[in-house]
Amino acid sequence: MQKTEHTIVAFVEDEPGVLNRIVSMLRRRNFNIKSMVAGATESPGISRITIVTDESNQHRRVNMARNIQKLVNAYTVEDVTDVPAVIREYMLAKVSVTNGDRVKLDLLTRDYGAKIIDSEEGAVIIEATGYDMEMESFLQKLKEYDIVELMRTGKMAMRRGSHLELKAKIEMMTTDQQWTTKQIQSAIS
Amino acid sequence: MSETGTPTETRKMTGADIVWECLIREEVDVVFGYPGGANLPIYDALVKYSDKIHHVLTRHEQNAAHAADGFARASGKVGVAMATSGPGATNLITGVATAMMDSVPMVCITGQVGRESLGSDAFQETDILGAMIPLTKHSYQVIDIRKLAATIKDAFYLARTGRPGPVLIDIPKDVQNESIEFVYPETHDVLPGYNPMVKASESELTEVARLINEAKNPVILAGHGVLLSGATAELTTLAEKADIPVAVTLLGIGGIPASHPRCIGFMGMHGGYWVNHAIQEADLLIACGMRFDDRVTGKLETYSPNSKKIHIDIDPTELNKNIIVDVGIRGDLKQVLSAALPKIKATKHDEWTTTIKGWMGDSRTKDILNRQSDKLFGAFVVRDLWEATKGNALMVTDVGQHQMTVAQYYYQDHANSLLTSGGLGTMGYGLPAAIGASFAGRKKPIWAVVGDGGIQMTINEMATAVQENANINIALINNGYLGMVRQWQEMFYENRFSQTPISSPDFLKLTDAYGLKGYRVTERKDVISTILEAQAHEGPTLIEFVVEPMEMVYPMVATGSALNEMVQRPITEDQFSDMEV
Repeated sequence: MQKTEHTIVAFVEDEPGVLNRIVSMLRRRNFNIKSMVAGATESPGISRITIVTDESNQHRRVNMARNIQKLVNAYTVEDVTDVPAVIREYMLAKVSVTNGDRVKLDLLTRDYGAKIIDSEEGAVIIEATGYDMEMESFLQKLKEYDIVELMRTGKMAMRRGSHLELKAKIEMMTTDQQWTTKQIQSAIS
Repeated sequence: MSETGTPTETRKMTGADIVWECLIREEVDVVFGYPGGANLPIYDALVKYSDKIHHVLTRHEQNAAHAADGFARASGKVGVAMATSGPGATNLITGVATAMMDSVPMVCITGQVGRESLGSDAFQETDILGAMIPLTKHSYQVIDIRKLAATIKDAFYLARTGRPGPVLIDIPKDVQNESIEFVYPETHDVLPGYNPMVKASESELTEVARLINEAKNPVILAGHGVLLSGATAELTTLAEKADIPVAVTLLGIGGIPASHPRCIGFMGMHGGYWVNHAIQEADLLIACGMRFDDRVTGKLETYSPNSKKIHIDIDPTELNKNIIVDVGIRGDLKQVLSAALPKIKATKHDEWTTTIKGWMGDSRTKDILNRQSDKLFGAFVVRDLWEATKGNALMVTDVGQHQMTVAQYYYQDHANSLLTSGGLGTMGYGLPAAIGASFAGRKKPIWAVVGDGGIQMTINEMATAVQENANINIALINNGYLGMVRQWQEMFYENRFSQTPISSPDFLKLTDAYGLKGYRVTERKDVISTILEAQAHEGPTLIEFVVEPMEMVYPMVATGSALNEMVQRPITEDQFSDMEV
């Protein structure tokens, strides 16, 4: 089956304006983005960005990844849609409840491994995380209640397994001062 | 007086000094720019370096960028343009966008308000970094003086390597004034994702060779990448060995000599009828360093429908962008071609050559050059300019009908000898780019062919040309119209000439006032003699050619048409219709 959503993971320099460069390029080239999550990684100075696109044309998707890679601040870019990867989203939902609903809601949140993390008079805040189908199904069920506020982070992705070669590559790029020069020399020779 | 010693020696210097020290180490000897409040320290420091770097004061920052662009295209070096913050910086934008579209190596250095004022909407503050991000190959704002030298080194490196392009360095005024020990870095800062050169794989090369060896009707499409990569020899060898006709893009002109028997000419919207037919009927296209711009493809859905396609480009984002290809190779063209050549069999495509010659004959009779007319047409001027200069001029054009005429009738045999704004189509480019090119040290006469519309956009640069005594000649094709727009109004807007008739000053009075040598030609018999006279004159000259006002550029592919659906020039009475071909 053709996937409608594709997930791209990019490692980029953690510098002012890098997100601006990526977003500016995506807008300029007219690439459709469903979500984009950026954050710190285990390596200082490197941010990790997960981009979900519903670009249906395969050439356009490849082109999008290449355009991100073309930015000078990008280390590596990878489409993880068709490789074993954990793709998760985090969500906060504020639901207005009366006492009578509370028991059913407790059961529902427990079913989905979600948590009620705040409970005030008349409303609770639910924290949920999971893969996309899970989140959609949970949201459907939640709609039986009155959702007052909803906030979804967008998806984050991480490849499964040790996958050390990527890490080694990025480490080399960041520690070897001659990386760029060497790349060019090896291409010319 | 400073001296440019070894990179390891250290001295305390201001940011402004460091800018010039770095430029000298990048072997810059000419800079185009304009001073202002936020780059005063840089300009003050220039006084100390004026024996090593010549600064050309253009009359507008846009033209500083165009001049740097013209210098870069003519010299193969990185052009440098400078401007102050705010309006100075925004004025650069058109020139930077022009260079970006045409992959021209350029470094632009802008002054910026002091760091403390950043973001406060201070006097002459503008977010030039934000504005330039989509228009440059890369852009920097230096907020830490310790990074200034490394940033300049990286900027030059980025501008000239891989697919060249403009790089912006924005320097706040207080960083220019700050002092630090100056060390010019020996190695590049880590540019992690920047990997401009990739080797073609063995399997890719084998596939390329197989497709070429099996092709019956192949065509090479030669773009700007041929010139940028210096791949003329490899391309020519391929064309000769496998007997493949070569069609060139506007910016690819000169990538193979126009007089080479395998060169069939200029492709696209105003390309040769036979060239476009060859592309449409081909069974294999070998696209070399070009990007399938809409001006060369016509309607995408009908583009070369039966061909396999090979695309070689140094920029991987160009592959499968407009045209989906069978083999897309990311790599330096010279390197890819030389690696592929041994795998390619020597062969002949006589039937294919004959077919293309037939199409050529069909359309030659409709060529304006075959008109027997006393009238002065723009195309006659360009044709005579080619003859008078023996095809050996460094040609610069503006944008419009004359630009296409130069592409069609100035048969260019030499690489890097046509400077023209192809991608962005920037009117006003011609004069400042010619001034910039005059600093490139080429031993060719420089001719800027411009229209009466375009030159009036940047005519103030006549003053720069005179101040610099630049050895440039301007061939002004004056038809009293914004000709190319009028042509479209004629063809697609039922002759409603909305705002295309344009008046001009008396150009002879103007050249007098500015101090150029001026000429006016109204008859064809005077064209060549005046060209020779102007060319012999030391310093800038301008010849106004008063030409037929209603002339059109033919042939033409209308937007939305297939590449071979060309509107041909109607045959007129004064034309040979039985021309031998």
